[in-house]
Amino acid sequence: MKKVMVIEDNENNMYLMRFMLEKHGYKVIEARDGLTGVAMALEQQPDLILMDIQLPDINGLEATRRICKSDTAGKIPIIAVTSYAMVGDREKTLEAGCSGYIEKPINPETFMQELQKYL
Amino acid sequence: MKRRIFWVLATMLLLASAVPSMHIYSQPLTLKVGLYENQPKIFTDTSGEPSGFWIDIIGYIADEEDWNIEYVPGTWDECLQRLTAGEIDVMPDVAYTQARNEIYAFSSQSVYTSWSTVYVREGGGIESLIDLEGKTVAVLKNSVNVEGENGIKALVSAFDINCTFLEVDSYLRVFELVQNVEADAGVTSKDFGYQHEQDFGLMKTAIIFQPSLLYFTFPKYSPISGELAETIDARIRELKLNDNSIYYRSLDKWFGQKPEGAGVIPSWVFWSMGGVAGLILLSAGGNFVLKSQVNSRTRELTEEIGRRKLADDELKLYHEHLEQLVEMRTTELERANVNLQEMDRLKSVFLASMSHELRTPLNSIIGFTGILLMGMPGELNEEQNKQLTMVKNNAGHLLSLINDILDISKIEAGKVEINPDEFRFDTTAGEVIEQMRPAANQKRLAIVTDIGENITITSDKRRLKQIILNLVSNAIKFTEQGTVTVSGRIVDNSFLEVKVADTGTGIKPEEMSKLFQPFHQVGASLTKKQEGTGLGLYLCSKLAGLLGGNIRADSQYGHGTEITLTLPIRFEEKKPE
Repeated sequence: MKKVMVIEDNENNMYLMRFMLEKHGYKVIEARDGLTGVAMALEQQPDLILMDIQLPDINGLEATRRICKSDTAGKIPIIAVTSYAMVGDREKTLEAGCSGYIEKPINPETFMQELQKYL
Repeated sequence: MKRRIFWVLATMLLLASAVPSMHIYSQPLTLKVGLYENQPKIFTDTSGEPSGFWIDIIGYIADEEDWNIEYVPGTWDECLQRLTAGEIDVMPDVAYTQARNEIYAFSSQSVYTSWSTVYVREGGGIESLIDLEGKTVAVLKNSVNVEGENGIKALVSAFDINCTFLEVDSYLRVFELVQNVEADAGVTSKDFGYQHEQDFGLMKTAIIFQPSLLYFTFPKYSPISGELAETIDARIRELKLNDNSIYYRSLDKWFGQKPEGAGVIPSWVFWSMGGVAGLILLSAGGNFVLKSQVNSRTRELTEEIGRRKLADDELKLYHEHLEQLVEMRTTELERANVNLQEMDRLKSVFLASMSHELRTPLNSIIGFTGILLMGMPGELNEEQNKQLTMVKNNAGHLLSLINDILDISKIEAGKVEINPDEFRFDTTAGEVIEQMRPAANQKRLAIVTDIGENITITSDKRRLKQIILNLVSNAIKFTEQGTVTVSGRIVDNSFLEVKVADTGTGIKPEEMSKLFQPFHQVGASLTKKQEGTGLGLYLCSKLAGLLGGNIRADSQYGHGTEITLTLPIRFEEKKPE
């Protein structure tokens, strides 16, 4: 069973993503802030990480950089799932090391297909 | 985050609030004028009345303007403090400095030119600046010749000279301290020194500094300062133009001649001098006439040289003042620029925050509605399905409104980047039409296309798609039966012309002018309203402008509307000017 890690501080959004992922047969690992997310990513080695950008401690861009730099988790694809939609936000996430970018609000009809490209 | 939005809004509201207007002449005006002791410029005479050059000038202007004057006496320092606090309306005799200009309002006409001199006791051994090393110097507290950027403190520190300063409240006290050997030297303005050096047995040194233009000043934040300054400036300009005015008469009266030291020379001296003179007269005989002619000519020449020197000094001062003004304005502009940049940054922060704050709850609404409709948590009955579809459609509509508002804000803030690319217009238009077909089918409307083949253009594909999507969606929205026609062709080998025509309600002639205004919806009333904010066409026209093109509308009320978009087939970036 493949593991998908969700780093997200909004409970409703976390529930939404966990529900969809579990329905599609993935194991979900949850983290609610950036530092926990980085630590758990290194330890648990998920197959994919969904990263919110605005987080309570370090932001998603910084968390992404830290995960990408690590030896153990550096190769895990990270997808930014963010409600920032200003000019250059997409570029910023890709620069930080994300492999993909999904804008919130997510479209549940296409969301899983997008993820499956990376799994 | 919510708190931040609040503060951004609050700041914007504050900045938008208007400055109240003012009326100062609706009732007789009593001006409070600061008075300090600096004879002959401004002082209290022996009968206790304010007197001196500045008093002549302000007194004259007050008479002409029908103002009452109430003099508020104090030390120099007290006067300046009152000016800062707005307790007096006018303070004369203030030298211009940049620092002072920050806290007081200056008249723009200078009234007098002055400089400062170091005075010492005769035989005191102080002749030049370096002789001040280790000495005690009496100065007037808070005067520009002490604290100013060319003041005595700056002067001695530039030469690495250490001396002690005794700060006192008046120039009289400065001279007293030097006379009583409590200080080795004293700093006063040239006019005070000129008038009083003999009384105190002091002499001036070669240390002359701080040339300055003197002005009337006003409290910075008083509502009447602006009009006062203008009125006084106009009067002074007028006085300066007239050779016979009180201005020149008063200059001559107070500064033209050195006053006699009355009673210093006993009368017998004159008598005996008269006797000696008589003898000389007799013995010199005819030589006298010749000599007096030579003397008179010499005096004239000396006076002429003096006058030219003064004029030259004045010119230099004006030049310096002009440079100061330019520097000041530059600083002001730089500061204004920084403020504007800060506002712009706040706006961007506000937009980013708003976007984020609004999209976060929508993520849950659209997300959960979506998975419920997909049947993920379980089958829905027909009614549940119908109602949830309504939630989904409305949430989607809300999202498109948020996107429109953000787009417009970004365009207005100049934050939209155009990414030109070469692409096939016919293919792109086809994609948009396919996207809109379900909505047209729902209303049983036909979408007819008439688009030339192989139309290749260089423009921003995403933005062009956005415009056409908006136009087609509008056409469908306002049409109840018939067709929506989308056509596209190249005109003059350089423009792409896209027309979106419908057979809908059309637009009344009087509504046409408002068509491209924001938040305006044609035919909107309180009872019946089409969906939308009335932002679509406004956004389209803004976007068309960004792509170097334009948009126009033709309509026959009751028969339909045709919107025409014209774009250059090669987008060229505007060169920054």
